[in-house]
Amino acid sequence: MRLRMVSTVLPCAVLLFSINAVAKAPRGYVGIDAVLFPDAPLYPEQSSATLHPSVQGSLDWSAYLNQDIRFDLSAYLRAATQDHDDLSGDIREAVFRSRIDDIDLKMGILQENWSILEAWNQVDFVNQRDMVEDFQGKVKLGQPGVSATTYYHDLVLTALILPYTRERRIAEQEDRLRTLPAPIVHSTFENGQTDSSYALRMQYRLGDFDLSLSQFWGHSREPIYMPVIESQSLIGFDELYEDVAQTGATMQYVFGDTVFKAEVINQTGGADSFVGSSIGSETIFNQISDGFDSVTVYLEGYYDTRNERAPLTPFQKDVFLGFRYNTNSVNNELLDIRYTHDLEYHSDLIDVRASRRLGDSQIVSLQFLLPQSVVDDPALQGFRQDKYFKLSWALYL
Amino acid sequence: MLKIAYYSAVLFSLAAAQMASANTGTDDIGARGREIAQTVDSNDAGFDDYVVVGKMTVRRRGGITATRQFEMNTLELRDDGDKRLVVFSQPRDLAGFVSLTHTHPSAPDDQWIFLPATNRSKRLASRDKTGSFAGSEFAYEDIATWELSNYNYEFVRDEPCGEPATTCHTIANIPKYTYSGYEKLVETIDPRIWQPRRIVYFDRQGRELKRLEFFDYQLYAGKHWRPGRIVMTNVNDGSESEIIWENYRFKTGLRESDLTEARLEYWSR
Repeated sequence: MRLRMVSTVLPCAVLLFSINAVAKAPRGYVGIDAVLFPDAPLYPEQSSATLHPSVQGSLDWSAYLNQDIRFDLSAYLRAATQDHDDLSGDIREAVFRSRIDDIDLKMGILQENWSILEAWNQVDFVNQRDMVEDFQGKVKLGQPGVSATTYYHDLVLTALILPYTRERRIAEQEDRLRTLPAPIVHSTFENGQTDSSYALRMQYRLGDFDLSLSQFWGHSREPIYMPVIESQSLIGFDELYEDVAQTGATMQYVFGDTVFKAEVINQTGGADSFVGSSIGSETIFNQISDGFDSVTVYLEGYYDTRNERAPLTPFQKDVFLGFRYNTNSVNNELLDIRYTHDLEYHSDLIDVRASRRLGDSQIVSLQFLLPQSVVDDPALQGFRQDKYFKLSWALYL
Repeated sequence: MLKIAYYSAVLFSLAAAQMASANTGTDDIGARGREIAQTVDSNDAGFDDYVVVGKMTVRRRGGITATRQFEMNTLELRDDGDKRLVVFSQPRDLAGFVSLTHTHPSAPDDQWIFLPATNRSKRLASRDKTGSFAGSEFAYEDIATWELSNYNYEFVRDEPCGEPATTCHTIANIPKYTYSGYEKLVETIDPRIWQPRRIVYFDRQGRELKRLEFFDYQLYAGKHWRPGRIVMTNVNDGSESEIIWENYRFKTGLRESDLTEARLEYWSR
């Protein structure tokens, strides 16, 4: 599907290049990652190479077709010799935008963001996730659809029609950081993959309060994995995307240097109906030393009532503590320490990242991921041999 | 603050001339300071909106330099503070980063950012606005729009400024805002254009912190004076941030609904 979208949308973009559109300068980056896995893999199919190099790039480009219509494209491509997909890519956004009175219309491949918390976002349910690019769910796949947004003072209303549901991309076969011990054999959508989903969202701001309510009807973006067993051995998993309804709410309150946040969902219609809730805070401390540096502290808690039949989630009963130090200097040095503790299975995930700018257009970054005590955690037990160090370099164009 | 946003020049009105030449006793330095600030403010009212491209060069001690480029969109609101949206295009890793600030009279600003890497808008707790704007000598407090009612004023002195030199008015702007990074901003205003030529910033301990100088003013839309270049110098270490302003456009048709959190992703392109 991903490469099919690339092959469909890129020619359209080329066509747009060729017509009388007023284009903005494209932007993007090319980068190299080197990931070092010091431990042997858990599963025999996984790549046993210690070093996993990859080359990647992104492109963002916009063009005005006329005064009222703009086309935006965001594409991503990655080549990795040690991964299940040697070549992967996605059209994350390819959308025609127009504005009629105070109604913004978008049509094409959309990126929607409904989240406010830092570590995990249950309410954010429009786009499918690419868990290979980021196992914590921060990378989204482009979602075909149409949206209309209207504004009335501090009230924003959005309606979406989403005519196609994409499969979640997860680590399989040679990939490290696998959540499943065997590959996906078959994907099933309860009403067929081309059955449309619908969503409504209302945002309202009242001074220091932000409130949003959302309603989604359609296929769940989180599949249920069902083992496929032949001759008494596990050969893979069937994934099922159930038809569900999800009601979501977010609340945000600014108080002093802190933003207090909450996300709540109620999902019904699948094998399990459940409620999920999460609360958190984000506090900024400026000028820690004599310069312009700052520290941001995140504290979040996640809890939901889903049972074993419900889709697997890495943040079911967890707490998250984040610490970000930013020099806010010319080179924008950043240190990010993220700690997640599972209250049910007592597993830990430690994620340390550091980065800085080189010159005007390069970023070099380091990451260290350490899963600890994950053997009993169904969402993370596949990571127990997957601690890694990652060195990245990117040139921005 | 980049007070260019709020001050413009018009021909001297009789009242302004009288104000400028009036003798001032020690008892009414506050009244005169406020009168000057009000004149500056009222002369620039009515710009509706304007857009300008800023090219910033940061020069640090030891020869380190960095360049930044951004487009700044400012919307004048009648019944509330102004809105300002900044879209970065340089450095390239920050291209598409957007910040939106809604300044309120006598209340903390509302502030949002859009992060293109995650395609996400975030509301910030912005009580403390002393953080650096893009690694420069400018703080976010300096970039936010100016509200007359957010300061108390004191007349300091008349002194020569500008080229050719004329008698300018120097006033102290004293932030009412508890969490301002400054004790006061001492501003020298050229009455020919009712715009600042220089602002000296004093920290909370009353020490001189940095100086902002304004150059190459030009008249736009028949009423609004704007500088072509401004330079902020850190008096402690000599670091300097210069912004060249290009391509001023007034009354572009910006609407309040254009400058909202929900539309930041649109601006990011």
